[in-house]
Amino acid sequence: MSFLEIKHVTKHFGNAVAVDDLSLDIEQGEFLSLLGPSGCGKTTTLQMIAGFVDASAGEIRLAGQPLAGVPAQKRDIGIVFQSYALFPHMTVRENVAFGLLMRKVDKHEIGKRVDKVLALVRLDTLGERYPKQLSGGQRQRVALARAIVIDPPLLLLDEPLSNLDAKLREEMQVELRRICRTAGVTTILVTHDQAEALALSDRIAVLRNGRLEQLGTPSDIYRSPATAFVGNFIGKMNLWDVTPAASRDGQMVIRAGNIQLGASRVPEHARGSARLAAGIRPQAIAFTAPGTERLGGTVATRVYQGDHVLYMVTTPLGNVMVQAGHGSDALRVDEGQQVFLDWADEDLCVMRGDAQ
Amino acid sequence: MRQIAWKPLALTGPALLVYAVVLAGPVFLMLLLSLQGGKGQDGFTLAHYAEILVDGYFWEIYGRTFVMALGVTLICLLIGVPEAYVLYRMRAPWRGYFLLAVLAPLLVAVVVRTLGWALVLGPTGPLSTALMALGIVQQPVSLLQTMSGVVIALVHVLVPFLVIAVWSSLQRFDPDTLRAAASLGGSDTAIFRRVVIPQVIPGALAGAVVVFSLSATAFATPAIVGGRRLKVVATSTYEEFLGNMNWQLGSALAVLLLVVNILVVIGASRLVEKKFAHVFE
Repeated sequence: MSFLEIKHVTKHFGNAVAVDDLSLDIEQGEFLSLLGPSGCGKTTTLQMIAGFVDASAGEIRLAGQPLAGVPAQKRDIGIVFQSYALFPHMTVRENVAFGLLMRKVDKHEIGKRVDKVLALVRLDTLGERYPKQLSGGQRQRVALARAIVIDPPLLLLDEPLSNLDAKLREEMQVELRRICRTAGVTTILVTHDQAEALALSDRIAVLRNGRLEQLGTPSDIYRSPATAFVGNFIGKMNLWDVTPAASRDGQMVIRAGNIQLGASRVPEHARGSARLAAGIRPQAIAFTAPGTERLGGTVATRVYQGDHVLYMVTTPLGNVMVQAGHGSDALRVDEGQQVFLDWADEDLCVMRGDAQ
Repeated sequence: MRQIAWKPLALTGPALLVYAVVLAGPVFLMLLLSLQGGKGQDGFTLAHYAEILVDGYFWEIYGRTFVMALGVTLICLLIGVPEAYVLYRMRAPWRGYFLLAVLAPLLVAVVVRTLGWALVLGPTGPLSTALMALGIVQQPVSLLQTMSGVVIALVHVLVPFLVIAVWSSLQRFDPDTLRAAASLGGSDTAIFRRVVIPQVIPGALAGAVVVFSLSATAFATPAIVGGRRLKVVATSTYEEFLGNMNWQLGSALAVLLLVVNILVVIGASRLVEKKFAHVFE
C-alpha cells in the first residue's frame, strides 16, 4: 500500500474531461512532480487531493484512509499556492502561526515552532514584516513556511516558482529541494516547467489531456521517453515517424522514409503501438566526415548560446537540431555549409508515435 | 520654475467649475447667512452659534442625530459586510440578480420608498398585523414616530452603499487566501473573522463613512417616519427656515452639522490610513 493512492480518478467539468482515469501511487517521503502543459489536468488533480474539488469518479487514499467526504479543513495537507495567497493583513510570523493557531497549539509552542521553520526557510530576521514589504522570493518562502509548520503528511506545491524571474527561480529550486528534504515531507509539485520537474523530483508523472503519459524518474523520462509527446516536452528532441524493419540480432532496423536511422531495441511499452516514432537529442548528434554520415544536410541557421551552439540543419528528413558544446570542432560551422551528421545507435530512442 | 500642468487642469476644469457653482457656492452662502445678525442689523455675529450651543434643546437634537446615524451605520456594517461576502461567494447568474436586489432601494424615489415604510410600520400596517397574529403583541403597534422606525427605514436605503464599498474591496481580494486558510485548518467562522473581515475593513470603513454622513443629513425619512416628535438636525433646519423663518439660525444649524460630518469623515480616513497602510498600497 502506498502512502498516497490515486485510483482511477476522473473529473468532468460539464462535458469537458479534466482528468481521465488517472492512477498514481506516491510513496512516503517522495517528491513527485505532475508535469504537463496547461489544461493537462495537473492542477485539477492537485485540487482533488487538497479537497477543493470533488472527483467525479475514482478514489484517493492518504495513508490508507479514503479522502472522499473529508473537507479540506480536516485533511491536514500543506499547500503552497501559485499566488502564495499570504494573508496581507498579517505579519510573516502571524501568517506562519495561523495553522498552529487554528489547531489550538499553545502560545509558547507556537512561538518555538514558528522560529524553527522561519530559520529553516532563512527568514528569521523578517518575522515582523508584512507580505507587501517582501520580495517575490521571500513571499514564496513564507508561503512554504506556513504550509510546513503544521507538519503536514503531504505538501502540495502549485506552480510555486512560476511568479519568479529566471535567476531567482533557479536559486529557489535549490532552496525548495533543501527545505523539502530537511522537513522530510512527501511532496507533490505541479508544474509546466520541465527543467523544474527534472531538477526537483524523485519521480515525474507527465500528464496530457487528463491522462498519464509517462511515470518515471527524471533520468528515465529524459533518456527514454515513452511517447513522442514526452520526448518533445522534456528537453529538445528531433522526432520522426518511423517503421521498424528487418530484425538484426534482437534489434530492429529503424527507418524514417527510406533513410536508415540506426538499429535499436523497440522498448516494451512501444510494442504493438500502431505508430512508432524515433527521436534523438540535439547534443547526441555530431558532425562527421563525408561518407560516414547517417544523414546529410545544409546548415540553415546557427545560434550561439554561450555554452553551446545550436544549428538548424535542413535534411531530407526535415529540420534537424544539432547542439555542439564546448571543445567541439563543430563550433565553427557556418550557415549555408554542407554537413554530415552521425550519432550512436544507443542514442536513438524508439517510442509510441504521434510525431508531428 | 514649476510649469503649470495645463492639460489636467483643462480636463478637470469643467467638473471643478460645476462643483464650485453647485456645491461650494450654496455652502458658502449658508455660511455667510449664519454669521449675519437679525433683520436690519449689520456686520457679522456668532450669536446664532452661541444660541445653539447654550440651548439644551439643540444639544438633544444633535445628540439624537448622532445616535441615529451611529446606529444606522453599525446595523449597516452588521448586515452589509456579510451580505457583500455572500454575494462575492455566489455563482454567476445568481450573483447578478441578488446584487440588483440589494441595489433596488436606490432605484425607488425617496418619497415613495419612505411613504411605503410609513405604511408598513404604521398601526394598521403588515408589521403590526403580523405581530398581533403571532400573539407577540395584543394591541396594534406602530413604529411611526419612533427611533426604531427611522433607523429601519434608513438602514434599508443605506445598506447598498456599504455593500458596494465592501464589494469593491473584495475585488482585490485573493480567493486563494480562503483556500489557504481552509487548508491550514481554519473553520468557516474563523476564516470569516480572521481572514475575510480584516481584508475588507478598509472598504467597510469607507462605506461606513458614507452611510454615517448620509444618515446624519437624511431629511425625508426622519420627516415622514419620525414626524415632528422625533426631530433631527435636518428636519429642525427645515423648520427654522420655513416654519420660524429664522434663516440665520437654520444656516448655523446646517453649518454645524457639516463641520461635524467633515470631522467624522477625516477622522475615519485617518484611522484607515494609519492602521491599514501596510496592507494595501
